[in-house]
Amino acid sequence: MAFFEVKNITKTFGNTEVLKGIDFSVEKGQVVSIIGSSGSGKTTLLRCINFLETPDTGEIVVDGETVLDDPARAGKISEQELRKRRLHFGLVFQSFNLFPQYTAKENLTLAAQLQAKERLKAQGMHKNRETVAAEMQKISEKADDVLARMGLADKAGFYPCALSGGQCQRVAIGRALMLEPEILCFDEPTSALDPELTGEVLRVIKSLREENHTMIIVTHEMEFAKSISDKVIFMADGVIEEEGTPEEVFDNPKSERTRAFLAHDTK
Amino acid sequence: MSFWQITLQLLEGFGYTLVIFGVTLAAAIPLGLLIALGSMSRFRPVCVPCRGLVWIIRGTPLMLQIIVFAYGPGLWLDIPIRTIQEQMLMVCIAFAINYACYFSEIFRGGIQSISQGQYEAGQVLGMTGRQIFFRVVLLQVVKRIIPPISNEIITLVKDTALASVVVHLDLFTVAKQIVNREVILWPLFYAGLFYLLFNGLLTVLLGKLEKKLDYFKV
Repeated sequence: MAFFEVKNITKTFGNTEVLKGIDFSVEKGQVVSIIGSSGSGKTTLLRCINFLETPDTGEIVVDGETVLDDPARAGKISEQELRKRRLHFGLVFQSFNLFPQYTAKENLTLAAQLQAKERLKAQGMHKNRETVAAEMQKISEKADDVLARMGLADKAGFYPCALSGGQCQRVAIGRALMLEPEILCFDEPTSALDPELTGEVLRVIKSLREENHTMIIVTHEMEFAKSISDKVIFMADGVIEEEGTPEEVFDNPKSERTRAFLAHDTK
Repeated sequence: MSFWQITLQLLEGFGYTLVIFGVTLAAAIPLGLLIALGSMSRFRPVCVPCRGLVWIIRGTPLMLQIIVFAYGPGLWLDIPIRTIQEQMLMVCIAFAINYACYFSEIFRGGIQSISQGQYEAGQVLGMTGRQIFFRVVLLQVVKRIIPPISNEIITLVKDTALASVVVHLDLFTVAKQIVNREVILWPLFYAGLFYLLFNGLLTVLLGKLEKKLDYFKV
């Protein structure tokens, strides 16, 4: 059984069938890129994986644990349970969605601090000042470390409005990494950036690959997808039209549609 | 009456005006937030009454509402409102409900103007709905609504003159009484100066608050 499995995901908005039965799997430490034209359902698929949309049918399994049961069978789950399951995944948005009133570092620490407080409260330790302070100190150090890995050590105290798009996106990646998700998802991480800023973001994502993070990347950067991925998925009209290694998909596409898409894209 | 005596009388009236202003503001902000959340609710038994209340309150004169609150209990419920404290209380309730409805629409606009992405970012970080609202969204809303809320606050200072239909003690009523009694006009303009100076102070304070939130952009 694969580390991460998506089975038969379908999703309809009104009368539009956006996902028509998606199955794929990812091994631990693998990087999977999802490519395809706009409207092919890539982003919806990613949003389903991150519980931002509820699929009509389908199952999602992480490391043997069913995190999303087929809605037909599953009962309603509590908000707390949903939040717990969400934390298997991290998501980096196209438009960053940083919290503007917090500094770069505070963007990283906010959710981690809230979770630590919740955990301490559950253990009845939240009134013990030393324990709380030690926990917050740990989170602060971890945030410094993550920011340094993002190449943003000197930007910790900056507010998002004072950072460039590329720097914002790196903060957003750091924010997702803070919670140590098992699977990190990217929704067109460079589409909102000027061409000269995409490089720094792509370099950070590459460095994560070297640290063996499991990643699912929806992207329009074909060269990047080719160089970073273990597996490439080409989606068209809500189905997986073709999947395989980058060599298979980019150099020897079997499907006519893949060929047409790639030919159009390289023009 | 000397200038000094008139000043003292007006100051006393200004005290009542300030009480109505302060109580209304303190009550209308939380109440307005509740009505705003209620009107945005997808649960019809909550949303429909909230929107109905806003419709009625915004659709009828504030003076009528003050009269209903001051004389209604005596007329319909046999609870006559007699003492000055009771009258002030009822006037303040009428003002608070009226301003809460206007505030609620400003709050609703502010809350709905925050991008969905902020909520989604909080969700994927495992934050609860409450945490997202209080830790992420609220301050952004506050920053956005300071200018329209400032407008309402300044209007409230002058609207307090409407309390004169029930309580004959507020600044404007006192000024009118002096004018009638002494047959001189200038105390009215003098009272106007009180409103003007107080609103000047509020404008400076609200401007400071706006500046304080300048460190980030929404």
